[in-house]
Amino acid sequence: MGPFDVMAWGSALGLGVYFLIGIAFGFILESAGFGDSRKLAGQFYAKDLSVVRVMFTAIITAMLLLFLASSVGLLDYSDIWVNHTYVFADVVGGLIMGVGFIIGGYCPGTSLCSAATLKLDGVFFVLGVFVGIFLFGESVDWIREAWFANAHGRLTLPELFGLPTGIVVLMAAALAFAFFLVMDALQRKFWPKHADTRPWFGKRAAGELQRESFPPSRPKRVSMS
Amino acid sequence: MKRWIPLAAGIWIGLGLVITALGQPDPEGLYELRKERYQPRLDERRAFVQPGELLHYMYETSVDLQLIDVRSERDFNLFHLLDSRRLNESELTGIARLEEKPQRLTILIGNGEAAAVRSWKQLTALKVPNVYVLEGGLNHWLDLFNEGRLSTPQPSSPNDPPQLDHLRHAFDQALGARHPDSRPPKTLLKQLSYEPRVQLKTKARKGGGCG
Repeated sequence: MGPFDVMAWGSALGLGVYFLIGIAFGFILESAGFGDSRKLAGQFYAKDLSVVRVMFTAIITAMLLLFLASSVGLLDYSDIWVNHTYVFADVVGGLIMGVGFIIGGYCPGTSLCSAATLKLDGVFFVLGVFVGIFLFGESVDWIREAWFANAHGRLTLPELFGLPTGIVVLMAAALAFAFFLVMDALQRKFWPKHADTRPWFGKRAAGELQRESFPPSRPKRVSMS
Repeated sequence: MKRWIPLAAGIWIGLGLVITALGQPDPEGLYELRKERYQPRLDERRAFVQPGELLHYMYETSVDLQLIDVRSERDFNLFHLLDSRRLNESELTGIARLEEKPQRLTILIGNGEAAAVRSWKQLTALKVPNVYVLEGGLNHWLDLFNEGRLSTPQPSSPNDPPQLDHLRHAFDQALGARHPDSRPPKTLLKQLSYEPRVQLKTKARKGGGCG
């Protein structure tokens, strides 16, 4: 097995690793501009697709590396926590989060990133998250039956479709790529000024690559004296 | 950066094809990867529950007891423990998917120990907590209990070799759980001696989401 269980190295060292990963994650979020609610909300209008591209790329890359490590025996997939599926709770929670995301312009992680840079909207969003968590904790017993309804346990796509994991991984990667193409097309249609219209395949792309790699030389200054 | 898209897509598809070709380890493969951690529990008999301890848990209401019978349907219909349910070894992954109840105690039951141990290895590799094997299987259970009473003399340990896994006892009719030994009376607990081996892991595995 690979050395992925950092807490087995010792709690101080393990927590230190988590801390460093957290710093790196926050640094990357902020440097990518994900602490700005306008950038985050823009993905819902197909105006700014940075978040969609980054998150989907991260998801697919992590999925590929995780299952590759599992295939070669470096990682025990059953050690990975997979949230249990409760259909009713997942649908309702997803709706609430989606509405909150587009109204507030943040998801929980990016709201912390924004609050860390003292943006007022981020700070208030985080406060709202805390209040919401507290209210949920105090009230979940009233809806316990509904909350735990439609339980399907640790359900994954290969189990749901009855397909080998590798096939599902390939399908997910292909779907993500297709999703990028569709979102690009939507952006060009609705927000042409924001769209990146540079081609990335074909002869025009080769020409673009040529110009980027070998820019025209600056003309020499000729003395008029 | 856009010119990297075809390269990235190619890498994704390439990795996906490698993963498809290699496949994922099955529960037996997972067990072999972690054998040094799990095998001592079998070798030291810590994964086996004696009939007396199982009888105790059959009457213990604070513990969620799950009895899984991994025998053939024919043997199950002849005799099985009260409230046990029959599952094929291939259906065990369904338990693993739904499992995560920290108070649940799962006992695997075979005619002997061989099939139950195979199932134990599967469930243990899939991180199902609190899984044990009935020591000696139902052959030993039926050696110990006789029509709702204890046999005399009491067999102290299973007599069968580990690889024996067929039902040694004969039945005139298929009584299933209606047989008096499917759940012997609680009063027998006072006459039974056993070594308690169950250690319930009560802490649920938890994880987080992402934001």
